[in-house]
Amino acid sequence: MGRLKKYLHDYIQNPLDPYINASLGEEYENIGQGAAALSYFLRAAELTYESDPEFAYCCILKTWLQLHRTGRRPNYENEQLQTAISFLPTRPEAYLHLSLQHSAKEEWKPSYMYACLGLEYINKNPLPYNVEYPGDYMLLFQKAYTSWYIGQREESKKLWTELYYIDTLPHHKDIIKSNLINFGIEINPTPTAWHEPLTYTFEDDHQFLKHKFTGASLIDKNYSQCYQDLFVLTALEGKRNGIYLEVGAGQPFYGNNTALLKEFGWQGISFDVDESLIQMWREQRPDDFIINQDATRFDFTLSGVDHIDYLQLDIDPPANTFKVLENIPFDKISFSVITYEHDYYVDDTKSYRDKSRKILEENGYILIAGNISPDLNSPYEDWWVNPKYISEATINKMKNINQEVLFAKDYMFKYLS
Amino acid sequence: MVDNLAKIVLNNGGKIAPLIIPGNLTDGTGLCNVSVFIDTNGEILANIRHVHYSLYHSEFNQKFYCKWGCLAYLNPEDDISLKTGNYLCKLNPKTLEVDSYQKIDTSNHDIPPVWDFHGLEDVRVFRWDDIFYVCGVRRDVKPDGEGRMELCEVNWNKDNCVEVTRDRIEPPSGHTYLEKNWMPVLDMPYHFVRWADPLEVVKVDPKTKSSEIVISKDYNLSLPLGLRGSSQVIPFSKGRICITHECNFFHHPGHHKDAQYYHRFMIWDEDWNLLRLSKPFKFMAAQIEFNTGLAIKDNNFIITFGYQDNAAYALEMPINLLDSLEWED
Repeated sequence: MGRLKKYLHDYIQNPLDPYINASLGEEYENIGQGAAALSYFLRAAELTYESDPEFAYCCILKTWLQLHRTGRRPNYENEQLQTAISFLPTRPEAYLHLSLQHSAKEEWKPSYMYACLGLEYINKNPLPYNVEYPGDYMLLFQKAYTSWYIGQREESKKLWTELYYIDTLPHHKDIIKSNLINFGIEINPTPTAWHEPLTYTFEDDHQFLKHKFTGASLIDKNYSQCYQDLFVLTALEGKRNGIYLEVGAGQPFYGNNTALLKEFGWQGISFDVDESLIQMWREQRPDDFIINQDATRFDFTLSGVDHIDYLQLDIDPPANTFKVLENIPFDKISFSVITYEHDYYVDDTKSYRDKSRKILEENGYILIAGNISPDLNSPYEDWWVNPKYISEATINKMKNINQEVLFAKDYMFKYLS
Repeated sequence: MVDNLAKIVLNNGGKIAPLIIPGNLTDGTGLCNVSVFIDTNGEILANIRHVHYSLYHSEFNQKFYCKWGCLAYLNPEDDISLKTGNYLCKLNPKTLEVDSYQKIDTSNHDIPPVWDFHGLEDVRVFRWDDIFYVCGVRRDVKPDGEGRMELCEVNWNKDNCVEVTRDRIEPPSGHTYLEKNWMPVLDMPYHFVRWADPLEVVKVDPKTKSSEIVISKDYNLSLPLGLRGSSQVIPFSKGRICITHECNFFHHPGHHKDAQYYHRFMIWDEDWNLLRLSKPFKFMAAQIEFNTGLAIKDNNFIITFGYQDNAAYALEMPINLLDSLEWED
């Protein structure tokens, strides 16, 4: 409210200053007051129509953004985007949003057309305010996406390949990788396939849990890709306030193995080398400790603890995950539960699964779930427990190590036949 | 004409506060037309009107039309009815910001709307005979959109904010299509200023829902636009004061409808003789502004208004600043 009042006072002193109008609009937008924001941005646009056309264009896009966030006004949104283009046709942002608008309605031709038009006007200076334009790559992304549907499939493949080497937001990168795999396009380094998380919800799945650990009934949903979070709580009987070490953190919630543990009061340290993911963590899990370092070289004894309840090892490719495993000082730190991603199904050497098993067995860990897979043909993880900390009864109940592919759903749940 | 009353106020010891209801309750659509009232215990109460549209108003040289021109109500496209809800609020006495709020629950008296304007519009808040009322115009109960002032008792405590009674007031003589902006006279229970020029004060009988003209005066004003009601009429000095509004509808060069709203202070003696009428003013230099609240706390007016139907504000104005305004001869 402080900044809002400041800009309100500034506005009252000079209501015809377009930049103050826009600042006030931005503050209203920041607190979810889209209608008020629309008024001030529209004034700013009117006041800079001749003097600062790029600013006016940006402010018109801001009026679109307020309507977009309010929702239920698609034609008005469309109108504002067209107004922006009519006023300044040589900037890319409004083309992108029109392309997105059409593709959301599966109107592939106009979506493709606006993507192509936008690409004619890229490499501009950024606008003064955020108009939800992630970057020029997004126009290329839209062109790749829509060209597939209008029969330009070779062009689509070429564009997805091109996009692989461009910096994008993580969720866009995941889509790009997925499409490359779907189209059978080989990229060096070989991308690892991403499988959508197998979701657990209380309503649908709780009744079928193989082991209803303490507190299971309090879980509405999980986050992991293959129920790793539920497995950890199963092995540790719903332990609260545990400690984790998460190598290859990924996103803070989506597909993440420690987000649910945090709801059980756990704390720990996470590692990832992707700066964009680090930023997501800072925004979405600001209280959690994440380190942007190469875990293959990190000195884990610096943590000062001698026992950790859960160790996750999951970085691509398999060789790197194995390097981290070799770097873990098992003589100084013990773990209760370990999930290890060997990515056997995409490991060209077919060696890292066996090498990892040898190390973990030598250090006294028991394989409890081998070749866990998100589907029926992608064995990618082994799950391990330390018999010093996990009861014999739990091990006997959950052990399943003799299958080439262990579908995670079958492992975690017991369905009525 | 004063084109920016807020600037004069801020530069002379006054203050202003934006009035906010969280966007997750309103989808960020318009908050406007606030009415303010100082309750018997000294609390500052206010009603904020929430509309389900964002007003698109292209001012100045009107370069950026939307689909419907320079002035348009951007309702949800799957529901173009003009919906109003009302939030009763307690304002912080130091900052004038909203301390707490509750939406008025009108479900006891609502019927399925039969006209496109839903809800009680441009509410004024006040207390008469120790009963807390809101009063505004409702148009959703007749298929032709006939509008009548409705006087509604509200039971408001920390747990509830419920419309207890609803009385639809018929005009004093003959059929009219639309009655709105009647200004409640706070020291004369059940009296409203229906017209400010010529003056027409009506008395309402809540039992029969009828009204009768009890005072008429013609001040022989020669004004370009008609004076319409805005705030409540409140005791002031030995008489009364209110804020009126005028509306100038015009068609701009593109032939689309546009509007300019102006306001004035109007001061009477105890016998309704007109003492002073200010020249028109703008609150914050916008074309569309609308006041529905005026109160006195200590040595200040508290004036509440909507800006472009999209934002709501409370302005605290030292009373002695009245003399620095421009007044009609």
